Amino acid sequence: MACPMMADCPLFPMFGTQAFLRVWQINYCEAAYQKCVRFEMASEGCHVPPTVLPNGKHLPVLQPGRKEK
Amino acid sequence: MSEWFTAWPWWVGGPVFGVLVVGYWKLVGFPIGTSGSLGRVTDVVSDRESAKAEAALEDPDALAAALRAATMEQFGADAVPAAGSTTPPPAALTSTGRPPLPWTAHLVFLLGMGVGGIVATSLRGNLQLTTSLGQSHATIFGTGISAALVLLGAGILIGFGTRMGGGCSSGHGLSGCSRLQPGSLIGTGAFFGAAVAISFLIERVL
Repeated sequence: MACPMMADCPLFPMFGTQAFLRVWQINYCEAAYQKCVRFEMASEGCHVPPTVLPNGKHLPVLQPGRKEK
Repeated sequence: MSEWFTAWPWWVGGPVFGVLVVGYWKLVGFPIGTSGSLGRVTDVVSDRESAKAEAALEDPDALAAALRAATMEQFGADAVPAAGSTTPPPAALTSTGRPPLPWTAHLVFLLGMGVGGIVATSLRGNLQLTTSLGQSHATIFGTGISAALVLLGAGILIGFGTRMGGGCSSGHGLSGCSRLQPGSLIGTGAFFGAAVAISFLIERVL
């Protein structure tokens, strides 16, 4: 069963834009959305930052807490 | 009127809490939680860093590089094509749902709790400044520095447990249980059960 929140998730369509990103959809959105941290946060009514990945890590662009040089 | 307010009856307090929980959820879009609000106030610096991170993701090239790095880290290098293979960068990411309340709104909520307590006590007609925590507390933990140390230790334990459990009695007990969240039901049963057990234990032993 696929994630019931994929329609509202900005990362889901993002993971479909490039072939290698489909691995996120396959491993989280379609196969095991229950272990997706984004799904957990949304289920609890929390704001889900767009930088949070399904594995709970932040996209390594500029992680929160990292000081700019 | 003050006679009526000698104690808040359950049939007033319960519905008021119910309206508060549902009303907050509907108006704000997030479950009510005291520790969560306190966390938003104390995390104001990291929230600003997070906002900077989100702003950085509006750059498609930076976003593509970040997704590539994250995918490689999670699924290994074999899952990602070699750098330089040209694929169109993804569009910028944006948040979904309602934006979170600013930290100042949470601060107002916390201050409102204090003001509400003062108003409620004033309506009962016994508003006064006191340092006493009651005879039972004094009997068990003493007074002065020893009582202060006990409170300090208790406060640290509560803060640690609240962070570790992702919420406190209002977040899990009111918001979580009312929405039948499994984690909140278990957590509330655990901390209230432990509190009752420890209370009985202290009463029997001391």
